[in-house]
Amino acid sequence: MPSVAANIGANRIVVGTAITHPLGAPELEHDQERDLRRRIVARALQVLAERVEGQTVRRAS
Amino acid sequence: MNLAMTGTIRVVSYLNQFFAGFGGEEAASTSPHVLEGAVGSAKLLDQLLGGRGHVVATVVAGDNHMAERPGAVESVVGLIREQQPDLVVVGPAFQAGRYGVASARICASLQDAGVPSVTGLHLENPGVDMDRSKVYAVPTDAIAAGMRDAMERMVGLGLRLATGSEIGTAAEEGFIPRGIRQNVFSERNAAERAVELLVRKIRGEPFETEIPLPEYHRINPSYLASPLEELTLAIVTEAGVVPKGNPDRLESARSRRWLTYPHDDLDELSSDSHETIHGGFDNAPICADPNRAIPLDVLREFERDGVFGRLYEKYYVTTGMTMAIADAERIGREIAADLLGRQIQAAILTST
Repeated sequence: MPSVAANIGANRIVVGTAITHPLGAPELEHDQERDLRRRIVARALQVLAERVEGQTVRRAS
Repeated sequence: MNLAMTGTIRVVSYLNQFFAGFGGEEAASTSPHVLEGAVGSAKLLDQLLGGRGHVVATVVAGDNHMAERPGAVESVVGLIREQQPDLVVVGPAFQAGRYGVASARICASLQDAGVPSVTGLHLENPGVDMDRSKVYAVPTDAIAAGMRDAMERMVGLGLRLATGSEIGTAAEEGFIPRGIRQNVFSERNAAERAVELLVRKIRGEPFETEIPLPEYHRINPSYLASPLEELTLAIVTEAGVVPKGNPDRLESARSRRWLTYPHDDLDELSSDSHETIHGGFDNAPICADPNRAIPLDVLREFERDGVFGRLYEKYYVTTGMTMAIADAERIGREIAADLLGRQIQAAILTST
């Protein structure tokens, strides 16, 4: 729901996977899923440290 | 003599110590008084009523007394009602915070008692958000230079309230919207009205929405005060993730509170230790693996690798499901204050 986060004024938004599992993907193997989660959280930590100018939306690599 | 015989309306004015002429801050602890007739700025009110009504009494209390004393609103309302008013004109309070909050609470209490009342508030007065569904408040200037204009608006709306006139919408009557929607019959269906709005918008003509959307404040981005490797990070979530069994019975919808739970002895969350009680979506995937909402497993990896300093020992949780915006804003402020008080410099909010 990145559009909701943007509407209410969040300045650093990282796009998750889905409403029912924002930081995972049940269809993946356990290790693959954990790797996906690692990439999303890594992106979050990266944008946290950035001097963003305004609302910024990022995706995991 | 009743209303019909005299043709005039009994009006009681409520004023704070300043507008009654008692003094400024030195008189702010004044306890509630009843004074006969119009006193202080109530004299202008009496004049503007122009014989349609008369100020029979002015009730006065100090701003600090009203803000600090439990039961102060009730005692003022009691004094007002003893005067058997047809209309109570409260303030105007302009942008004065204590005065505005007291004015709104008095009006709400009078409304509960079935006594018509009107106040005047600047749109940024904190009183605007007090019991707004029960308060008729006209918008005013920030400062008392706008006294006459405010009084004229209050008299106009107040007389209509006192005489039992049918009250139209906020826009028609000129009061601050109370957040009440009323059903009305329309000649044209929603599709026709929506197309007309769209056409007006495309043509660059003025148009008025039927349902104003909530306004959100823009917030300037903040920056980390210290490098990521040195700071303490917290997890905040609206995903309704709780220890298995939901020991504090966090609501699955319409929650008005937030909780914290320790996770400092865990390397990851599991379906044995945690679950989500969020009622807004199919929560089976998160119940099966709560790391899908609170990514504790990978945060521990980054913590061990020194990517950030330390994960705070507890996570913050509420349930973001049909939550009132006012509650959401309050919860946000409370969690932010708690984080700041614990010297936590950053947070990741995970959202479903």
